[in-house]
Amino acid sequence: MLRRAGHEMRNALSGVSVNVEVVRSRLERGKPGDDLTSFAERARLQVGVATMLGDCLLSLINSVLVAVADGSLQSVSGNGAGSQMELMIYGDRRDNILADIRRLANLTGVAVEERDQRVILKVLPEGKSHSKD
Amino acid sequence: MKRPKVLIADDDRSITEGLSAILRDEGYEVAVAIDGQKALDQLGTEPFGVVLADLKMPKVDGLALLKELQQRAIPTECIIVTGQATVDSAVQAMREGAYDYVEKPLTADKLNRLKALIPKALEKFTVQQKNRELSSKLEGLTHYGELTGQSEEMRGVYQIIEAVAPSNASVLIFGESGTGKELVARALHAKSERAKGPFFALNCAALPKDILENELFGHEKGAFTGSVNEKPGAFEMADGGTIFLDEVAEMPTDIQVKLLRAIESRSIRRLGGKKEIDVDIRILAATNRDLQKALSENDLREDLYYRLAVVELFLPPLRERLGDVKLLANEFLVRYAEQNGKALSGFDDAAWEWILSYNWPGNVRELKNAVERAVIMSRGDKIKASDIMPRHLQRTGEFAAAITVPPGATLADTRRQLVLRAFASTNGDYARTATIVGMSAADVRAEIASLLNGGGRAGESTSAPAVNGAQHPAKPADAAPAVAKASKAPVKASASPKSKGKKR
Repeated sequence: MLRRAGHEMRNALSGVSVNVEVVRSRLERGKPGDDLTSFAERARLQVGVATMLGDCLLSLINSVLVAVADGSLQSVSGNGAGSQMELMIYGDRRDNILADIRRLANLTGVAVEERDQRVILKVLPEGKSHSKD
Repeated sequence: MKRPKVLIADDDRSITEGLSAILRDEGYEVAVAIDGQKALDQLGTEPFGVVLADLKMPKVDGLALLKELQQRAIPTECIIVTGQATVDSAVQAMREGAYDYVEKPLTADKLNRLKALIPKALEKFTVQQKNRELSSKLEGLTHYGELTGQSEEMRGVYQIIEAVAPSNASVLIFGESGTGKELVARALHAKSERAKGPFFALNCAALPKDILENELFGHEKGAFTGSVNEKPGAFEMADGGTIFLDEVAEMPTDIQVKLLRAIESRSIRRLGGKKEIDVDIRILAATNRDLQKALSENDLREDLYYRLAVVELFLPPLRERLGDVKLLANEFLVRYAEQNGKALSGFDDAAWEWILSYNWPGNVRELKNAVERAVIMSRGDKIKASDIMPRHLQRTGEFAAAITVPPGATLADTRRQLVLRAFASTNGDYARTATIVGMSAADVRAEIASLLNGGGRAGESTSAPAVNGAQHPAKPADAAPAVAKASKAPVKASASPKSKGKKR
């Protein structure tokens, strides 16, 4: 999920960079064009995506660190390819951790399933994430 | 001017929209494909010089796209842009034929790098595209300037001419007598920027020393007894054009010194003259001599050799381009039948058998003369073997007693030569040929038939063996200047230059 989040973050930052570059270069040339604001708007949206991804990532890392420390997160197992992971989450913190996982999962194309105490994360095929478009 | 086309294959709209605008502002025509499959579809219908492909895309990812491009031989240069950069993926992308690899996020520096990479990739694409187009043109080419031949060996020669002609480099043409060295020189001149200038050919072996010197450099009035007028030499007459020095290794060594000086200083002094005359010429030279021997025996000055042989071009003997024999024989037949007012429909089978089995030591010139003689001598509607066979061979029944198999000859080439040689020696007796070579008569018939039906033409036999004849004139083995050899690389061809001499 972190690898996928990294990919999405780089895409969002690239979106910011290329659209800002369009605005910068056109203003520099003195030929802004009618669609200049659309590039500025796209850059703004991608800043939002990158910010949200960063925030989700930091929240999840924080939750996981706390959960590991107080024993709420007790076991982690995954398949060899890294496309699936199983977590055992107990106690009061379960809902908070799950909420952080779901936020990042939603942005990075990862499906979340709950089975009793188990939380199963599955990395979806490329292109299923929600940060694009 | 047509704008170069770039395809962006990425599923992230925020990137494709921004990148498209940047590249359009840079002067490119840009199209977008939102996944690898759509990129392939677009590349299949219209050419793009460069593809910017994301490594991770739905349906067909960047690496799979590269593989497909290779497999389908779709011409384009692919730059991989990825947010999941790893050493492995970079190595794999380059291995699959990517032009380059740029990591996301596309910061200002990386965008600048990408902007700098695209023209370079486009340049590579353009050069390769040009080569592909010219290569396909050459595929069926039977004539080039005044040269005739569609064998791979001759296509290699055309390729070198195309590459070298526009430059001002001196070219030394090697080849046995009768292979068409002067025609190559004419083609080099005709395809150069000097084509509108004069082409002056001089045979260095045909003239005595004093006359050769006079022909090359000219003389002033009163330079020697009987020189009542001044006379410009070949260098002056070829000013602004090309001078072709045939059989240059036969040139007396003291004239070689003067020639070297003229080449280096780009000026000459007439015999009996005091002033230097500037000349703007390109020098082409040819020899049929064993150059190694000529250099070691000081017949050709080494410093002159290096000046003349900036590029070397080897013209293969006719026996090494068996596929061209039939083409040339038919062409000469049509030409001489027309010139002599004869209604000839072709060669009979025995004549073909002889033509294709003879090793033509005098090369194209010998074949041309043999066909001309045969046309004149023939009485029927077809040329017979007795019409075309040289008198001395008819009288003695002489045939080459041995065949030489050079390295690189295939078993099929060698077998064909063996069969043809035996067939010719038995005057076309299939049964006797079969006994001699240890094959069935049916196999002998099939072998002969395959050759008569064009089985020995270009593409099949790329290394026909040299048969009992002189080998290539040897080239200096070490320290040779840039050597251009006939290669199989895609080549450039263009319209034939204006022909002034006879076609060979």
